[in-house]
Parts: sequence; C-alpha cells; structure tokens
Amino acid sequence: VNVLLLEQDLTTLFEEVYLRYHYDFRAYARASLRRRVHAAMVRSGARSLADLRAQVLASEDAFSLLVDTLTVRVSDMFRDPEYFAVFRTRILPRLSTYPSIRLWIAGCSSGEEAYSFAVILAEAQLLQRCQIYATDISPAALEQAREGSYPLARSAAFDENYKKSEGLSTLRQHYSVVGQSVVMDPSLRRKILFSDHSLATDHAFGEFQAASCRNVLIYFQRPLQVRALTVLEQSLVHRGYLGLGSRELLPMELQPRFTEFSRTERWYRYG
Amino acid sequence: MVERALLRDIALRFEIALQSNRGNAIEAAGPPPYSVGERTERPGVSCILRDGATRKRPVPPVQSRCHGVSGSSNRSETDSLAVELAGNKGTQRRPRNLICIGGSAGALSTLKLLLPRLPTYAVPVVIALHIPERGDTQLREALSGARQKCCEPFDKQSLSPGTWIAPAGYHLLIEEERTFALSIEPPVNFSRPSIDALFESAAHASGGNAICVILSGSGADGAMGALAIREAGGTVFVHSPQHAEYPSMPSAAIRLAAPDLVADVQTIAAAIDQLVGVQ
Repeated sequence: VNVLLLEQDLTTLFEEVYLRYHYDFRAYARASLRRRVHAAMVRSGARSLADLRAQVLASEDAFSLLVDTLTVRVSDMFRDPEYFAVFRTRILPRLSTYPSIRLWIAGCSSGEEAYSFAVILAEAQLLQRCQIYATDISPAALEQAREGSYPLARSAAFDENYKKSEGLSTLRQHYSVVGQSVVMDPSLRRKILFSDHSLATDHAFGEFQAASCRNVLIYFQRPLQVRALTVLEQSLVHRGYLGLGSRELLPMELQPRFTEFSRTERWYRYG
Repeated sequence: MVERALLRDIALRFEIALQSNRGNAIEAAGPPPYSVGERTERPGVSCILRDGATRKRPVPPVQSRCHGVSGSSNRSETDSLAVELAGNKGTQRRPRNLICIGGSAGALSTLKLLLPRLPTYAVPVVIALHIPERGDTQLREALSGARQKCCEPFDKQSLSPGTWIAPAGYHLLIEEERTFALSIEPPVNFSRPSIDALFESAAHASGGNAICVILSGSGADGAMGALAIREAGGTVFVHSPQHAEYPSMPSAAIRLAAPDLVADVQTIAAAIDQLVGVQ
C-alpha cells in the first residue's frame, strides 16, 4: 500500500476515536503514527482512511484491532541491559532503605520490562516488600503481560540481556518452560499489578519511589510528552527516580525539576 | 528538468573521454563484474543515467562541460546536453534540505569513501545502516573518523546540520517539524533501523527537497523508501551494482525507484556537491 495519508484525515480519525472511545491518539508523533495507521489499514483490509474510520466507529472489535496495531508491542526482557545494571547496582541500594518500595512501569506493553524489574528485586531479596504497578493502554498487551508467557524462541535473547545486566545467577531460575513458551515464575507475577492507565488522559494514581517509562514518550509529540512527564513527576516521592532510557531526553521545561542521575542511561531524580 | 540537466552535467564532467572509450562503455554495461566479498572499485568511473546510457572514462580530470569534446561519434548528443544546460542557466534551484543514506552489508567501507567527499554542508546527512542490534560503537567511531563527528540523535532532537546515524535497535524517522523521532516498531524488511522507514518519513517531511542514496547491501530495504522520495519529487542516487560489494539492495532500488543517477561513489559525491554544495 502506498496511500497518501493527509494530516487532515488523520486528525479527523483521531478526533472521532477520542469522542467515541476516549482513547487519545491526537497528539501522537506523526511519522511513526502514519506507518502504524498504514499497518492498521493493511491488517483490517481497509481501502482508504475513510474506510478504516467507518469500520472503527462502527465496531468495537475493529477499534480493538486498531489500538492493538497503534500501540507498539515490541519489548525484550532486560532490553538495553545497561539500563537495568544502573538500577541494580546504583539505585536499588538506595531504594532498599525504604520500608516498602513502590515501582511504576509506565507503558509496560506485554510486560517484559516489569518482569525484569521483578527479577532484580527478587534477587536482592526485596520483592516481598515491593509492589510493582505496570500500566498500558492496550488491553491486548495487558492480557499478554498478565499471562507472563513468552515464546521460547525469545528466551535466548532474554538470557543474554540478563547476563549483560549484571544478573546475579541465571534468568532460567525465574521462568519455567511450558511447551513452546517460557512462563514467568508466579512469585514474580504476584507482585506485579497490571492495569489500564493512559499517560495521555489519566492522572497520577499513587506515590512511587521509582518510575520507568521507556519507548513510550517517543510516540508522543512534545506537548503530550510534557503532559505525560508531569503525571510521572507528580507520582514520584521527593528524590524519587525516573528512568527514560538512553535515547530519550527530558524536555527543557522539566529539567529544572529533576537532577541527572545516570547520564548515559537517562535515570533522573526528582527534586 | 533542472535537476536532470545538472545530473547530466555531472555525468559529462566525469566522462569527457567517453567517445574514445566507447568500447569500454559497452563492456561496462555488460554483466556486472562483481563477486561476493570481492571489492571491484575500478580505476575507471562509470555511471548510468536514468535514460539508460552508460558511460565510462579512465581517470577523473575534471573538465568543463562539453567543450573539449571533439571529433566524437556522438557529438550531437553532447551538443544537445550543452544546449539543455545552457537553457537552464539562472533557473531557480530547489533548496535541498536533507541527505539520507541507507546501506547494509558492504556499505560501511563505501560510506568511509563517500563521507569525506561530502563538504560540510549546512544540510543534515542522516544515515540508516543495518547493524547488529547491539555493539555499534565501533561503527560510529569508524564513521566519525571519516567526516565530522557522527552522532546518534535523541528522540525529538532537532534536525540540525551534521552527520547523524540511526541508533541500533531503533527506527529513525524525520518529523515534518524537522525533528528526529525514534520508534521501536517491529523490524521492517528484517531490519531495525529500516531504510524504508527513514526514507518514507523523509519523503513526507522534506518532499522534493530530499536526496537519498542507496549503498551496498543484501535484500531490498530502501527500495520502497527511495520510490517514496522519488514520488515526492526528491532525488534518488544509487551506488552502481557493479561497484557495490553486495549488489542486491542497489539493484532493487534501480528496479523500483528509477534513480536519477546510478554511479560509483566519486560520481555520487560530485552529484551531491552539485545539488547542495553551492546553495
């Protein structure tokens, strides 16, 4: 397909989607959104954007399919191992001084990152006094995350990343192989609450010692990034940690409220 | 047509000796002399214009246009080009505001030749190379040596002049407001970064003002993107399959995108210089 997607038509689609379903894609960054709208058209067999719009407004199933295509569901356990190494070696020793630790994974997709943090906390014997909140807007992704089950074929990459993240033993300890899947240990799953939350429309819902939000803000235009980061900021305790990952920068207007903690892996401290 | 004339001009400057080497030209247009793993950057320079004509000359002393070509069998052709060029003198040229380059296997050595030949323009050069997801520091270092510093952009960083390279494991996209955007959408053509993804976003953001270059590589990534740039009115250059270490990516782009110029690195560098260097 090489259909020209006019900005005006995209705007109309997402205005209507917002009014009908209260999912807000209006301020998503365009370059990537265009690609995914294309993908959605291919997936649903729509011949034009107007066709896709009609399908989506007429049927909730069609809308679910659209959300599933628009929300990018690609993640790895311990993706960018150095990011987790900083958390494990430099942040966790400080977090361990809190009587209870609350961690927020914003935009958790299918859960790999949440499980990665749970593994680190378990290995530090901190999981018992910890609660991990993992949120996303995609019901399909959250469903997969709750199952904590991933294709066996991906486990080699998971294991390799784990090693590079300065893991203390082997990742194999934390999952079992069932058929062609790896299933994360139930003790990890029990400590993670997967729930629906939108950084675009919802507000702060708790107080956390640390929040990780990677590869989510890249899909937002600048004003929406600021909005989402403000929600994250309001959710952090004083001197709480915020991780954005190595390729994402804190927008200028928010920089005065944070101090840099890890320059390369982009962990910040609030206040 | 203005660009076409310029490209012809470049091609002409580089193969003044084409008349005396007519035989070579035909030979060069024959079966490609490459084989996998063997570099075939030849001392001669050959290029194919979009009209299909292939020309070759031995060593590149840059001469002026068509003057000095005499007694040739295809005088009329060069004359008509000269007329076309003259006719276009003083015509407004499109302001080029983006150069994007894509490559895969075998492209790194070509890039090291190409980048130093590009003067430091006020136009950003954005590169997408297929590289293993992790361990790309070597690559950046290799390229940094070749030209000015080569940087991996952050998300939403503004598209300022310089040399930019897609970070490993991310698609690199250009937004209309001339900022970079990163994405971890699934790989396109088995690749992340994908050249198609970069070029297609560039086509949208820069329209006819983008220049894209496809270098060596296996597979066909970049061909669709080059087509998008072409359809938006931009310019497509392709490293000739005869010179590329892995000809499949250039060949795919030639088949699909009808490039403005298919040539060796030197000629492509000169063509970019013509389009961008003096604006």
